[in-house]
Amino acid sequence: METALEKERLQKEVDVARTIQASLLPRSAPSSPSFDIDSITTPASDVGGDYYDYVKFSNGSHGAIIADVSGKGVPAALYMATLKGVVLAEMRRATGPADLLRRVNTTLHGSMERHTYITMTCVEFTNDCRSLRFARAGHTPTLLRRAGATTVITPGGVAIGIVSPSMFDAALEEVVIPVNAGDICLLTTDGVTERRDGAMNEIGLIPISTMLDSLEPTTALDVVRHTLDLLERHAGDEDPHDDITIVALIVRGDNE
Amino acid sequence: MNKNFAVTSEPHSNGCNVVRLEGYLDAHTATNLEETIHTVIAQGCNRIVVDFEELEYISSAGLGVFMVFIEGVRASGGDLKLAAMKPKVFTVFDLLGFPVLFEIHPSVETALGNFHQGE
Repeated sequence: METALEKERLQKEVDVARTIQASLLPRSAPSSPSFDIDSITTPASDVGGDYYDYVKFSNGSHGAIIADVSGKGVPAALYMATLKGVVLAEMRRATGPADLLRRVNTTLHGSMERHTYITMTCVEFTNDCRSLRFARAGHTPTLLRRAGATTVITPGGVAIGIVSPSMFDAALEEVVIPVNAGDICLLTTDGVTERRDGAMNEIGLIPISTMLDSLEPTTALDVVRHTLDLLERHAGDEDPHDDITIVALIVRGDNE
Repeated sequence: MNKNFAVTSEPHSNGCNVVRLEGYLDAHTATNLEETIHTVIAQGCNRIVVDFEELEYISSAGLGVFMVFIEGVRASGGDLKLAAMKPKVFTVFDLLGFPVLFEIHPSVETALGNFHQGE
C-alpha cells in the first residue's frame, strides 16, 4: 500500500516536472516578413533533455537554438532547465552563434557531471534574412535547402561540457551562407535522424534530405509536419527511443 | 546487428591493457564498460587501449563512459586511446568533436605502438 502511494506521489512529481519543462519552451515564434519559423519537441518519456529556443543577439538580429543533453529523464531535464537559464543570460551579450556557444561552454564546463555533455546548434538570421550564420557544438548536422537542392551543414565544434574553454574555442567554426526566398533550414536532434523502424534501422539524413528537395511548403509548420509524417511512415508502430525535436525556418520573399 | 554487449579486458606485454568491446553500447550496457575500465585502473594500469572493432553501435550514454576516465588516467601519466572503429561509430565520435579530446587510431596495434613511442 505504501509502495503504491509512494509511486503515485512520484508520478505526480514527474507530472509537475513535465508541465514546468513545457513552460520553459517558447510560447510563440518571432514574427517577421523575412522569415517564418516553427518548432516542435516531444520527449520519449515524461521529461526529456531536448531544448529549442528563439534568441536575440546583441546586434538585434534573431536566432534559433536546438540542443540535446546526453542521457534521458529527470537528470537530462534538470540540465535542460540549467541550459535555458544560461542561454537567456548570455544571448543579449553574444555577438552571434559561435560567441553564444562559447559563452555557454565557458559557463557550464566544470560544473557538469563528467559523463554528461550537451550538443547544440545555433543559427542567426539577420533582419533582412539574406544570409544564415551557423555554429555547431557537436550537434546533429543541419539540413539547408537552397535553390531546390539540400546540403548538410556541419561546421566544426565540440559538444558543450567536454573540453576546456580554450580547446572548445579553438575547435569552433562559424559559417555564413547566403539564402534566398523559398530556402529552407531544418534543425533536428538525433532522435529524428536515429528514429528506428521495427528492425532497428535508423532513418538517417538521406530520406529527410530527399523530402526537403521536393517540398513546396506554405509555412514552417508544414515543414515540421512533413518531417514528422516521414518519421511516422519509417517507424510504423515503434515507440520513439529518444526525444524528438524539430526547428524549421523558411526564408520569405520580402528580403529583396 | 548484434544487440547484446560484451566487454573483456586483457593485459598486453608492454604494460598496456586492451579493453575489447562487442555489440551494442547504450545506457543499459554502459555500466558494464564503466565497471571494467574502473577495475583495470584499480589494478594499477593507466595505459588503456579500447578496441572498437566488434562494436556495432554506441549511444550518448556509451560515449559518456570515456569522459569519466580520460582526465584521471592522463593526470597519472597514462592515456585512454580508442582504436579500430567502424565508420558509423567513428561518425558519432567525430560529429561530437571527440577527436579533439581523444586519440583515435585505425588499429589496436598503432594505438599500442603509440604508447611505446611515448615512453
